[in-house]
Amino acid sequence: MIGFGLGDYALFEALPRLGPRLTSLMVNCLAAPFAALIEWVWLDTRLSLAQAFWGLVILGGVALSLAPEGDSRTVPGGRTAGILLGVLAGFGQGFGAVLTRKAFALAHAAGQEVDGGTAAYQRILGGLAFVAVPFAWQRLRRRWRGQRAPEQALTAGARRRAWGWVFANALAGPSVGVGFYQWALKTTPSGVVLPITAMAPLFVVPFTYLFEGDRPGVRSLVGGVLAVLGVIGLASGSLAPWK
Amino acid sequence: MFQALVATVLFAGSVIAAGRSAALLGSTAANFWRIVVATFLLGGGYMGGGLGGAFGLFFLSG
Repeated sequence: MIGFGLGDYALFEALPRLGPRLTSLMVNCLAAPFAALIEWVWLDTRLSLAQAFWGLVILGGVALSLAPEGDSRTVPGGRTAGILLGVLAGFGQGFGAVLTRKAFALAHAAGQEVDGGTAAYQRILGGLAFVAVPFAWQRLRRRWRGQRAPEQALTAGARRRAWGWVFANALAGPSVGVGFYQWALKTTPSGVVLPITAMAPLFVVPFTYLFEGDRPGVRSLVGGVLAVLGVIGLASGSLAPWK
Repeated sequence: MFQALVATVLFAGSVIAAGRSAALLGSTAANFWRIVVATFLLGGGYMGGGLGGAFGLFFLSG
């Protein structure tokens, strides 16, 4: 409900407003400090000076990346809404991660060992329950107004492309992507895995350049690198596994 | 370490796919259908694990 649900709902709403590069940077980099903050407030986990420092580095990097720089990738007037949605998405991912850790601890305390795949499946059921509500509401509203669903307005070729992207997204993210992530955590220390996966927003940059023609400015790139360094610093500490 | 690198590339690629599908289908529909597809993909592999344990908390976290 919180991670795949609220978090990804906000992520998908932020995408058309900020573009994939900035959205990915916000969500991936803000999730870790949000998780640390929630654990501190809710679970009374001690927040070390180093964690606070890395949290500030992340916020500074994200702010630097988001500062207007003649970036044409954002929808006019949509930047503020996009930033708020990006923050909400980061909060959802961070809170979802804390709840997942709590659930693993609860299962362990009850003498049950839950594998990563089963946990991912149980989590995605919660996400499905959440996103079904706005989807059904949107469909009903369109039908009431006599409007067609977006996919019905597409040509046959565009519809095939759309479903191809949906399938690729489902494969690369929550199924095969998470599978490789869990496999990595099983075979490699999390202190190595987390800093690597924290670099995902930097890996997005060549993809967005290739697919979207999005050329980030120097300030945006420096901010991105700074934010990712902050996540690596934070992930190398006591937050694993926060994803 | 190879698995972590593959996961990172896949996570990066998934954002591009998300942006493309949202542009064509709209954000709400793209997100919904992505989760439906992922639920089937994950369900095929993990249904055997059952829903016991801390299901409520995992459900909420997702």
